[in-house]
Amino acid sequence: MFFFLKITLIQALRQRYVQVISLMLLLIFVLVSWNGTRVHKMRNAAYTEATLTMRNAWSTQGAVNPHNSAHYGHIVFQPVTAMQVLDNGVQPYAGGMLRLEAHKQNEPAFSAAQQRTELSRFGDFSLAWVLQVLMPLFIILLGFNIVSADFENDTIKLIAAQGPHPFQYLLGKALSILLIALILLYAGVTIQFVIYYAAGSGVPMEAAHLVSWLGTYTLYVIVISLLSVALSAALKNSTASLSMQLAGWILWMIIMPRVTANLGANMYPVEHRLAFNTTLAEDRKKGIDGHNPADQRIKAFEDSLLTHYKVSKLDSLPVNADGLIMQADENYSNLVYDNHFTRIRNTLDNQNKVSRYGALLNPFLAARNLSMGIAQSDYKHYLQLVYDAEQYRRYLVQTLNEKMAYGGSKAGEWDWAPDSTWYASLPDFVYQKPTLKTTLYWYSTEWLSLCLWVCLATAWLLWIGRNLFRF
Amino acid sequence: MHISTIFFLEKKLLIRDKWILVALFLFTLTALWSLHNGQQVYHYHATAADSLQAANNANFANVKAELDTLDFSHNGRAAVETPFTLDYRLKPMVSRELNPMMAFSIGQNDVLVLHKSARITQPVFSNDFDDFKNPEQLLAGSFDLSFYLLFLFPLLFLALSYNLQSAEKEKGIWINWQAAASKGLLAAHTWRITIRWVLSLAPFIIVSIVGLIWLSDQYNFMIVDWLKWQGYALLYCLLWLIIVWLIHRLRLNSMLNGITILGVWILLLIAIPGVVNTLSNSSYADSSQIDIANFRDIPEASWEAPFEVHKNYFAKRYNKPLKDTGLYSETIVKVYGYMMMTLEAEEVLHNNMTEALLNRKQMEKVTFLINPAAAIFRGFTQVAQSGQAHQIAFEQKLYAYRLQRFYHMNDNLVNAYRFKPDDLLAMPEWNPNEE
Repeated sequence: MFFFLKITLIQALRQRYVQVISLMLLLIFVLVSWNGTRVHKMRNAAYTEATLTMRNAWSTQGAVNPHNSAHYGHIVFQPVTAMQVLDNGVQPYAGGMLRLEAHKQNEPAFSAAQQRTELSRFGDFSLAWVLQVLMPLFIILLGFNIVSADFENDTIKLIAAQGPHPFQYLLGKALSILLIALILLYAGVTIQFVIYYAAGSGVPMEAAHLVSWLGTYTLYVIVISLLSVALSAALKNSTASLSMQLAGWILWMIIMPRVTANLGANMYPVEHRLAFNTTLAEDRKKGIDGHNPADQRIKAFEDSLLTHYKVSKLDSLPVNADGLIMQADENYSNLVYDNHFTRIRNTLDNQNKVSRYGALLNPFLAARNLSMGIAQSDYKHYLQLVYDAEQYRRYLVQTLNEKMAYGGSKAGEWDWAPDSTWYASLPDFVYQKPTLKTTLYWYSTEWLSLCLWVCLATAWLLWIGRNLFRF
Repeated sequence: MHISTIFFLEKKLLIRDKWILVALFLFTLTALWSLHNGQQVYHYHATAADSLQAANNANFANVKAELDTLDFSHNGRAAVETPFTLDYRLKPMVSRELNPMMAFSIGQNDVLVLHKSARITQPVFSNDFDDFKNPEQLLAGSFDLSFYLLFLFPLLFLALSYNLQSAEKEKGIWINWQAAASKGLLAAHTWRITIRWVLSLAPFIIVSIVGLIWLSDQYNFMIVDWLKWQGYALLYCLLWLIIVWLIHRLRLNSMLNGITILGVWILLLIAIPGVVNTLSNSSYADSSQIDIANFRDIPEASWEAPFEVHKNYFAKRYNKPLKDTGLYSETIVKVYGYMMMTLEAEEVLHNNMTEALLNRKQMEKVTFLINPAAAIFRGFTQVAQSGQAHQIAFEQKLYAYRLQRFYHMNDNLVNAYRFKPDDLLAMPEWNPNEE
């Protein structure tokens, strides 16, 4: 096996086109790493400035009634993490900011893609893209004739006459491609790593995430290399092998991702926003409306307070009834929002499941999903951000309403305001990134798919090897 | 060799290969599915636009009924007639003009916000009427007819033409053609490529006609749009005919022909647009987060501004003292000033974003000579009104409309001291198709 590995490796490395393409790939790695780091730094700077501006605005808002402050609300921005420099995933298509305010759960808005032209839909280059799309093309060019050339030149008979096991021969060939591809893969990631740190990007990448990310691409490269050699051996004809591999590349990289995404949208259509708003508003009407004095539920709530505190008038209460009413409104609307948004999220999740299961048929989809998951730039991380932001909104609005209720004001005192420093004492929003374990659990279909593909490709090589030397 | 003879021989060659028929059938199905996807997206937005209009009408009828019951001395007038409350109760919502050609090219319409609130104080940060977006789907992109034509048509043409002539040379039967065509060998070869080009176009032509039949039933459809779209498509297909013809002139073997055509495909559809996008993304980085953070406090600051500032805004349009009609004259002045200040700040925010977009568009335009697929795609989206150009126009038109409504509501209240049912009927209307 090592003999074939050595011979094939020497032969491949002597080829001028392999040298040229390898150098081109290294150059592309440098360019995309430099550009990716630059964009990442700009995004991080924008995020930091926007977040600081918001925090400053919150802390220095002065003496404001807590419920008014809840209405002006807060804005949470899509965070930038170190791992995202490797793969920016769905980030450009996800809303860049989320407004948090009283009584209302908003959807994120202002995605980066909305600030781009239609031509951006052709895609752009990132390290992940190069590894997912260009690297397989490079492997195909290395491997399409790696076995078939021996058949076409009739050297296969000489090789067989030397008495090696066919699997040793095939494995040697596969390992030679794999070695070149892995060297380039690790070189690419090292280049990105060096440029990222040399640029003083600050936040370190999580080691476990980085290793898992590399592991994903290692598996991916193994699958593509084994399949390339297997096809070359199975077809025994370089033209047919190249045609088949290129057709597979186009099918897996270009066509299938769009097909699965559009299939998902067709299978699980999302309801119209107005219909959503209407049913949500109807459900909300069934609960207490804090800003509608004519609401009968408010009257009942006020009566219950008067009974509880054994007083006859609202302004005799030791608490501000308005704050409690606002919070009762929040508590009810939170249930309504949970109910309706869960329905929407489930629909979107079902849409994405088509691509997720498609990963079983397409290692590119498996690598893409897993890569952006580990790089914290996938839809699930984004949903986690939205969820965390909503929990923060609830905490913030509740704290503000309770300040109004128990801070010393009376019902109807809408001009009452706590000390301005009180606002600065409230903690800011902190995004809790999901752990790597959680991410790997979310993407179990994808990494299982990659492992399965490694096994299938190896089994196929073994199967082809059975009859390879029978002429 | 006569064209009819070439056609006859090509027909015999192609019919003999059953895989070609299978491929043509599969590509026709794929093209039909791509049209279906586009239609789904168009219908989704058209239905959403209709629903918004129906909701607008219902809100309008409610407010009208309430205004009809009011008399001048009614003490609840302020809760109905003031611009802020009128605007709140009318809850106007608007949709961008939808061209049914969008079914052919969804373009950027799946990303953009096509339905918005037209309230004067519409919250810039909320997208209450926008459809729910699925970022994973947006990342993958739409499988519409423009995708089929740009990406898949060249592959079918490649499959049908890569070994033309070279395969015959490799099989040793090229001599038959040489004997038959003698002097007109180049012309015969050109005809053969053209026949295969037309054959590759067949699924697209079939689906375009199916699309035309469907379009003819759609509101707002103009045949000239379809023709323009087909014109761009024809240009693109001709480009591929020339590319393949030129590659054949290199007289390479079948494998090299295939690799070269595929190389050009990767260059035109992946490499060049990718490089241009990467450069654009880093040159025009999204700065909306900072703009939004800076904008956030403006409404509050505008409300808290000294009354003199509000009065100055009011005086710019209404150079007369406001008669106290019991409609909180001071509040009207304050609300006017507050809204104008907020609108101005919003315009600045919007202009910043638009300027960056226009610069980006300009930069992309410069590259069109080496980026033909992108140029054609822009042409498609211009016809289908599914690009940023129409979104920018929509945003500007919406801004003007909101201002127009605001002035209308204030003018009547300030000049005539009341807002009557007739004034409501004369309220400016949103016409999405109006230039």
